[in-house]
Parts: sequence; structure tokens; C-alpha cells
Amino acid sequence: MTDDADTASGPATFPLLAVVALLAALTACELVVSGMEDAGRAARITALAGLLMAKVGLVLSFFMRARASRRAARLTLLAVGVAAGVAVVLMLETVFRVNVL
Amino acid sequence: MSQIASLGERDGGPRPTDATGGVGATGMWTFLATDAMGFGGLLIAYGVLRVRAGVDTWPDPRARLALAPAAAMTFALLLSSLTMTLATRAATVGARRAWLLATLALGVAFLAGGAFEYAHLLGGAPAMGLSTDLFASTFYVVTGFHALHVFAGVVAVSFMLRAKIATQALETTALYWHFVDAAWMPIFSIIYLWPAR
Repeated sequence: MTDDADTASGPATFPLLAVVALLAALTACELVVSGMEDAGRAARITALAGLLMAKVGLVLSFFMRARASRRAARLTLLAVGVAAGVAVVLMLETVFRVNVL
Repeated sequence: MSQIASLGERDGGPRPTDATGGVGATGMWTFLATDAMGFGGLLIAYGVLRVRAGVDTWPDPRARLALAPAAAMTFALLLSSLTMTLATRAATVGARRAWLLATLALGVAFLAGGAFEYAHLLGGAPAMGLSTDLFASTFYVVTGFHALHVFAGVVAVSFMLRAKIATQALETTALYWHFVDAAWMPIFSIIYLWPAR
């Protein structure tokens, strides 16, 4: 294996190893944050959500190479992202519905 | 074209494709997008049930689930994404088979870990069955749904062990495998780690 610049099959080996190490470190951070019972529940969940987004972003960027994919694939992702966002907002609105009348 | 790809052609290894992965990758992206909505729906259902149940009713996941095996399963999936990527870039058939076998082993290890966890939960005292409470039901449904995806990935990787596989097929399978890895991340975080109180 070589550490050449990015090939047609994706980034070189060393960056991939670094990404896996980073993902493992983020997972370890999740375990630590989850065990911090002195911190508030909301603070822990917020931190865990941030770590989760970082991990998924890394997998999408480096392993699935979402940015390098075809335009159609990116548009599909965008459409699904918008649909998922709308669905989440609607469901949260249902859960936390406030009666104003 | 890189040296790796050239070697691959000479040695009968996977043939190179462009970085986009071709039509198969677009099809797989579309499938993954719909599949992601399935996972999203299940996780949102979990979230809605949890919020509705209230802080005092919903059990703390750490009190019921063993974190160490789940963390080990997470690391296994992370490593399998690396081995899968290395398989798509292998120069020779032999190297590709070796990385695919490593991916297969890690996938099987993940499934074995899940089976061990289920056995532990179902046989524990008190036992956590499918109908014990809402937490148990949603836990088994979400993790079982993901385990089915891992199983499908293991079957697909097994097919990829054949010598004459087009690079595009391998890259499309890799895309699916990485998705299975990415889908586990919110499950691990939300179900295993998010504190109930």
C-alpha cells in the first residue's frame, strides 16, 4: 500500500488510519461523557449528540465519500435530508405540542 | 491511474472505475437514502416513546445494558469499515480476499456480540423480554433491524470473495457496509448512552 495522494478509490491509507483512530477516540469520549453523572442530563445529551454528528460526518466524508459522489446521489441525499428534517420537526411538534388557546 | 489500479488489472484484481462509482453507486445511494429513513423512523419512534414516558418511567439504559460489549461491537464495526476500504483498494486478488475476510470476520464478530447480548438480556435476572416494557420492545426492534442489515452485509461480502468481481460491485457493497457502520452510531449513542435521568 502506498500513501500517494488521493486515488480513484479514495484517500491514502494513512489518513484513513487517522480517521479510524479519531472515530475510536470519539467513541471513547462518548463513553466518558455518558459516565459523567455529575454533569446534567441535558449537557450530557447535548455533548453526546455533538460527538454523534462528528462521527457520522467522518464516516460520510471519508468512507462513503459523499462529497465525491455523483450529482444525482448528492441531490438524493439533500432531498432525504430535507424530508428527514421536516419529519423530525413535525414529530417534535407533536411531542411538545403547546396548547395556546 | 494509480499504480495500485494498474497492478490490479495485471493481476486479475478488481478493475478500476471512476471516483463516482458509476450507476451502481447512485442506485445504492438511493437505496441507502430510503433505508436511512427506516432507521430514522425507528429512532424517532424510540425518542417519541421515551419523551412521552417521562423521566421517571423510562429506565436508565446503563442500568440494563452492558456498555463494554456494545463498545467492543462498535469498535469492530469501525475497524470493518477500514478493512472494507482497504479491500476496495487492494492491488491483487489475494490482498483483496484477505481484507474481505477480515471484514467478514469483524461483521460476524459484531453479530456474535449482538447474539451474546440478547442471550444475556433474555436470560438475565430480571429477564428483559421483547414485551417487558417499551424500552425493551424498541431496543430489540431497532438493534434487530440493524443486525439484519449487518447480516445482509456479511452475505454480500461473502459473495465478493469470488475472484472475478467488478470493482464497481465491490465499491457498491463497500458503500452499503459503511452505511451499516454509520447507522450503528446513532443507535449506540441514543439507545445505549443517552441518560434517562
